Amino acid sequence: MAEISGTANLPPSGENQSETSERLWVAFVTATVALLVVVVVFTSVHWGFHPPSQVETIDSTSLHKGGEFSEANLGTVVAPDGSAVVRVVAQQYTFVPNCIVVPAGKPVTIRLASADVVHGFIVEGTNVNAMVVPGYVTTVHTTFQEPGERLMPCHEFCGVGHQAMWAHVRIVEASRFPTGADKQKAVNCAS
Amino acid sequence: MTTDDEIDKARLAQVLAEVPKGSVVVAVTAIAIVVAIWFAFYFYAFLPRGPIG
Repeated sequence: MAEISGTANLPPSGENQSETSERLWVAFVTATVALLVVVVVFTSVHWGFHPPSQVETIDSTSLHKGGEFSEANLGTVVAPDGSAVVRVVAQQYTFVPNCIVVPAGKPVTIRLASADVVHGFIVEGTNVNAMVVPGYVTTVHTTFQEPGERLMPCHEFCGVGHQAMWAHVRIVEASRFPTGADKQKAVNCAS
Repeated sequence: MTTDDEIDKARLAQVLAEVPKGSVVVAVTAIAIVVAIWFAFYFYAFLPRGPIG
């Protein structure tokens, strides 16, 4: 060893130092990834944040003939507890109904079905964002906190009229929804 | 006289003994920035946009 130039002052534990720094680095990166995973799991479990589901199937060719997405059912129905279910049909090149009204501060379930091709929808300024695939029902649960009006465009290219396909979501005070016998009737902005 | 293997080991030991602190600082800073941006989006964009399920 003494014959090798420049090695006289070598620390005896050079490799160990390097291994130590690598172990520290692996621990640091592992801790960083673990922190992000913990935050994601906490968000999912504690607040119930989940990706929208698309597991229910439906016959997209017969939506208009009856069933859940028949014309009379499209719009918003408010349950006795104040929560709302919104049913919407996406088709080239519009959403039906084209203006959705929902209560502020109440749980809202949005259910969409496509009558033709793949569509998508996003409610501006919220996490509501999902695809609408023919043959499946897209279900999204959310709560709109502040009253106001938000755009809801189609965000999956669905044909030559795609750029003109959007709806409005009008968020109003829960007290403005129908009560009594009319409560089970589906409503929209025009109601 | 030493063999080539001994020379390599000695040089390797010398290189390994000098942990590049600058690169460690750069790497830690880079990851810290990325994680900070992730949390910024989480707290200032994702959560304010409301629940989703």
